[in-house]
Formats: sequence, structure tokens, C-alpha cells
Amino acid sequence: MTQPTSTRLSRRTFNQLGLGAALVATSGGRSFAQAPEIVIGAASPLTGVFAFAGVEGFEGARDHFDWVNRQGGVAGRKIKYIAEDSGYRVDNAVAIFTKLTSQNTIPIFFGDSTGFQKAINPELNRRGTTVMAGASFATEIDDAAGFPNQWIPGPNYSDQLRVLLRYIQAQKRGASVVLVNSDTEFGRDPIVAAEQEAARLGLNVVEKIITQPGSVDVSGDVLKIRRRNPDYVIFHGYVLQPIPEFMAQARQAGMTSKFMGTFYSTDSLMMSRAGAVADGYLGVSCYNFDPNAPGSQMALVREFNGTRVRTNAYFQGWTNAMIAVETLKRTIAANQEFNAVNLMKAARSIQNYDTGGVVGVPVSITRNSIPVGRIYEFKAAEKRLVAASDWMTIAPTS
Amino acid sequence: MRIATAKESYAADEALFKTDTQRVWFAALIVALFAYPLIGSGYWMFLAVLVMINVISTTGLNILTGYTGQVSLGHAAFMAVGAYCVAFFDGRFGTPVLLNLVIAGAIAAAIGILVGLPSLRIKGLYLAIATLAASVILHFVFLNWTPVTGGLRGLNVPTASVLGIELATPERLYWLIMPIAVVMVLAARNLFRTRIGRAFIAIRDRDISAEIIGIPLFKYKLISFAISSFYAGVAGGLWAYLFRVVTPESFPALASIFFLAAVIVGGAGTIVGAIFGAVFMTLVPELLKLIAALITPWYPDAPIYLAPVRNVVFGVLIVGFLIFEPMGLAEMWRRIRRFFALWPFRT
Repeated sequence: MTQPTSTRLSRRTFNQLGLGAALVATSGGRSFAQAPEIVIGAASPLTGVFAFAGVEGFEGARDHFDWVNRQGGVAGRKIKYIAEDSGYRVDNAVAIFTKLTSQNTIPIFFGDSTGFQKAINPELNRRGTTVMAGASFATEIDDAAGFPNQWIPGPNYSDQLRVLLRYIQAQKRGASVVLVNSDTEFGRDPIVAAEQEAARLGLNVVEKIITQPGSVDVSGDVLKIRRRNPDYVIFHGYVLQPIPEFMAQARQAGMTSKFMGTFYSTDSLMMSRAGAVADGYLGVSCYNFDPNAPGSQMALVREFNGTRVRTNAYFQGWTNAMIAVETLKRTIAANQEFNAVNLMKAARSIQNYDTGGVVGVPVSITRNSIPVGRIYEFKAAEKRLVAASDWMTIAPTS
Repeated sequence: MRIATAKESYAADEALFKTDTQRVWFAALIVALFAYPLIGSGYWMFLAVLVMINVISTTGLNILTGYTGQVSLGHAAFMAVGAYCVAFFDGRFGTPVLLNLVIAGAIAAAIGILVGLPSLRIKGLYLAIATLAASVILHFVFLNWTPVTGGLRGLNVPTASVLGIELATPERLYWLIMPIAVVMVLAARNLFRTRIGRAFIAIRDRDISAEIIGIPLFKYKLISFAISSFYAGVAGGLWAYLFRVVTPESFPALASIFFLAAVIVGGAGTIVGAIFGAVFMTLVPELLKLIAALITPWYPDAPIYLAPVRNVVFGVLIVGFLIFEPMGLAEMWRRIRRFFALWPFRT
């Protein structure tokens, strides 16, 4: 039996179908002339105790990369930003790093914590392919010899304390200070440096208090502070609790001490939750909280967010992304391949760099960090942080 | 239907593998473990290594909790002891890897005996709190015994090296950790064919009756704590070689809950349950993460919104197991085996 002519498949028709299928199959793919994407990976703490900062940090980096891609990318190469939730756990973050780097070539990776950045450091050094930045401001990581493949997007915790103490010294010579630190690696980090700096400045550290990071009953510790009646109380190593509780009980006891804090507790949203007791709280940050601050990058932040108030962590993510892009640009401009040595050479060449207003002064990567800070005061009535000092740069030798 | 499984002697009834089918499956498992590196990439090798460390630790806790009935919330602290021991001895004296692991297990066991001392007088929730308190004390030691533990900054661990071969990657560490995991799981299985293991089970089932029939409770409870802690110490030591840094925050109290949950979800009082529990608790969050990653290309903000959902799903899965399969995954496994053993008859 012969097939009807209309359904017979000739050799020519078969070839035409094959050609058509091949064209359709490849039409969605990348053309040969198109430059490959640059993949930047991240282990972000999107859940867990650090999620408040993790989400903001993720969004800050995402927004900046989004803008860079809209401008055509880095030397024509788009950024592909892949972030996964670590839950602020070292083993999860290591799993994410291992997974993403085994699936992609990743020149720059963003970490989620001091623990992870320390844990992965030997692996970074062994690989020599990837450099890292992240959410940690640990003093230990600010060591170009021990951590040759990492940078910190701001001042380390010891330098943050130095900024606070220099502000105190400018306000009141010989002032008395109480240090309140959480009983964590994060919390205890700058104690020794703070004591040395206070001694150098002629300030008196009259008490050191170590508490659990989320403690609720702080009445005993408040009593200790009250007995000392210091001019300033500096908190470090907390997200929010127990800072409001300390301040509330101290105010009820009639104390007039000024309260201060470091990076992760310098947050207008969290202080707004604390309410009127947080009025006058002084925090250190290296980012610009002035909603009308000049500069191209600050204009972009406003463009992305409108009236939405962003926290330190958002700017930290944005700054990490900005340094990452600048590092990639400089490496490409020097016609060098992406490896840890070339990337860190490019990152360390960032000197007197204009951040477009995100940091109010030109910044330089010194050791592994950007040792610049500024004091902000929380105005409870306006629910915002306003600048209380000028920008201060901490010299590496101090 | 499987036939001819009648046992003619006590030894046959107590054999490690009772049927040829079991021997074949065990052989297949060993072959699979040796073949796995041929197909596993870096990430999957990392997960395999992490699962095996968790299997060792969960097996240890299962010996104490599942088989001896002693609740412990300090298991992660014993792992930390092992991790610090490895970091200290390898970093300070450069002692061989296997010796470090034995030392880690031995010191963890010694501390386990100390922590187990109250177990004769207290049990249940009271013992749980006592072990939790012990973990708080150990955390204090890790934080403040700076010359040994490195204080808050912790210790860096040198790369594991066996016979001059550096085990710097999960692919290489697999060949150290896999055999140790297999040997320790088999050792645990064998333990319950001995007088000691039977004493543990007797104590769990009814401690007063056990004492009446001549089992010295105190001795055997302490042995159980020692063996359990030994497993935790070795697991902690291997963890240190994998992550190569140990800090006081490396093993939070929540990690003890993780292992307790692994014992319960897997099936308390069964060796295979510890394996299933450790695999479930380690891999299910990764699988759920994989689903989020698949959606990300179409929905870039998926990580933000799906990450909490993933935790909720994981929590619901655990609760679901407790409600619908309180005997754990091991019971499901037993039913599957029974189905094939009795097929085509109803089970």
C-alpha cells in the first residue's frame, strides 16, 4: 500500500525540518559574540537571628548589580548574582560556597559571618581563584597577611570603637566609660583595642560588662552601671536586645549617661522600635544616612527605594557590590585573568575612591578594611539618625 | 516470600547479618560508598562528608538516648571537645590524624563520664537540664581557657594529612571519614550483641528491673555516656578537619537539639534510625533549598521569600513524622523490608 502524496516525507522536506529544528533549538541560546556573565555568589543569612541584616544586605547588593547590568555590565559582561540562605550557620554557608563554586566560576563571593569567613579562609587561600567580602567586620579578618583574599566594607570593630572613643574625647576630656559587650566572638572582639584606645586618649573605662547576647533581665548589670554612673555606655555585639532594656532601666533610675553602639545596632528602624528611650543614642557607621546626601550612588539608592528608609546592612551590601564591580573593572582594565591574586591587587588599588556619597569621604582599602566612621545620633521624634560628627579616618598605625 | 530463615542456634539468631539478602545489600552499600566519588561533584562530596560526620554523632547520641534511655542536651558540646582536641594536638604537636581522633574521642569520653555522674540520681528532664548545664560550663571553658582553646577567636586546624597526602578537600576527606563512619556504625551495631549493649537496653526498658537482675546501673550508665561521648568526640574531630576552624560558637546548644531531632526522626533505639535521621536532617533542608534555587531564575527575590517558607516546611515535616510515624524512618524502613519478606502475602 502506498502512502498518500500529501503525507510523504521527502529527503528535502526532512532536511528542511532538521535545519528548522536546529535553528529553533539554538535561537534561545547565547550567541558566540556575547561575553559570558560574571557570577557573584553569596551565602546570605536570610533566616535566623541575623536575618534582619541578611535580607537588607542581599537587597543592597542586588540593587547595585541590577543597576550595573542596566548600564551594560562590567566591560560588557553582565553580573549574575546568586545568593542562597545560610540561616547564619557556618556549615550551611560552607555548603553553599562549595555548591556554588562547583557549579560556576565565581571570582567574588559574599559571606555571612565571621565564623564562615574564618572557616573558609584556608580554602580561599588554597584555591586562589575566589576572593571574599561579607557581613563580618571582625578585627581578626582585617589582616592582609592572615586573610589575604578578603576585604571588609567598612571599619573593623576595633576601629568602630576608636571612632566612638575619639568622639567622646572631643566632647568631654577624661570622661568615664562603661563597655557592655555580648558574650560572643562578635561581642568580645574590640574590648582589648577599646581599652588601649581609651588609655591613650585619657578616658577611664570604669567597668566592663559581658552579657548573653539576647538577655532580658539586665537589672543587675544596670545596677553596676548605676554605681559607676559613667558619662558614656558603649554597647557592642548586640543586634538590638538588650540595649533598649538597658536604656529604659537606666533612665528610670535617673541616670544621665549617654548610650552608644557599633555598626549593627546603629539602625533607625530598630531604634524606632525602642521608642523614646533611644532618643539621643549615638551610633557609629561608615555609611551616609542623610536622605538628601549628594552623590551619584546616593541618588541611585533613593531611586531604588523612594522614601523607604534603609539600614546599615543595605549600604553594606551596596558597598560590597560597588567594591566588587570596581575590582572586576580594574582587573579587566589591567588585562588580567580573574584569580585571587589579581583581584585582591585590584581591590587594594582602591585608594581615595569616590563612593558616590555612600561614604561621605573618599575611601581607601587599608589592610583589608575601610577605616572610616562617623557618629550618628538617633532622634526619636523624627525616627531617624542624624550626623553628630564629621567623618573620622583611623590611621592604620593607631 | 523469603523462606528458610529459621534460626537453629542462639549465635545464628544474634548474627550481624541474619540473611543472605542482608549481606548482599550491605555489600551493595559498600560498593556504592566506594563508587560515590566517581559521580559526586564537590558540593555532593561535601554533603556526603557532612552526612557521615552527622551519622557518627547521631549514632553516638542514639546509644545514650535511644538505647540507654538517658536524655542528653550536651551532645554538641562533646563534639566541640573533640574538635578542640584535634585543633590543639594537630596544631601544637603535629600528631597524626588518626591519633588525634582517638585522643579527641577519649577526652570527650572522659568528660562524658563526668557529665554522666548525676545520671544515677536524676533522669528524664532533670538529666537533660544537667547535661545542658554541662554544655554551658564547657562553653565557658572554650571561651576562657585561651592558651588551649584560643579564647573567643578559636583555633585554626591544619589540613588533615595521612601518609603524606593532604586531605584538603571533601573529595579527599571522604576517604578518611567514610571508613571511620562505616566502622563506627558497625561497632555500634555489634555493641548491642554484647553484654554491655544488652545492659543498656535493660536499663532503658526498666532500670529498677535491670538492677534487680544484677546490672550495676551506675557503671553501665557511665559506660553509655563514655561511648556516646567518644562518638561525639570523633565526629567533632572530623568536623574540625572539614571546616578547619573551631570557635566557641561552632557548636551552639541548638546543634544538640539537631542531633536529638535526628535520633527521634530516624527512630530511637535503632542503628539504621540514626543513619536515616542524620541523612534526613542534613539533606532535606538542602533539597528544599534546591527547589528555591530552581525558581530563582524567574523570580530573583525568591531566596528572601522562600527561605522562611523552607524552614516552615522542614518544621512541618518533622512534626508530621512525630504524629504519623512516631517510631521514625526506621519503622518505615522495617515495614518496607517486611513487605518484601512476606510478599505476596499481606503484611
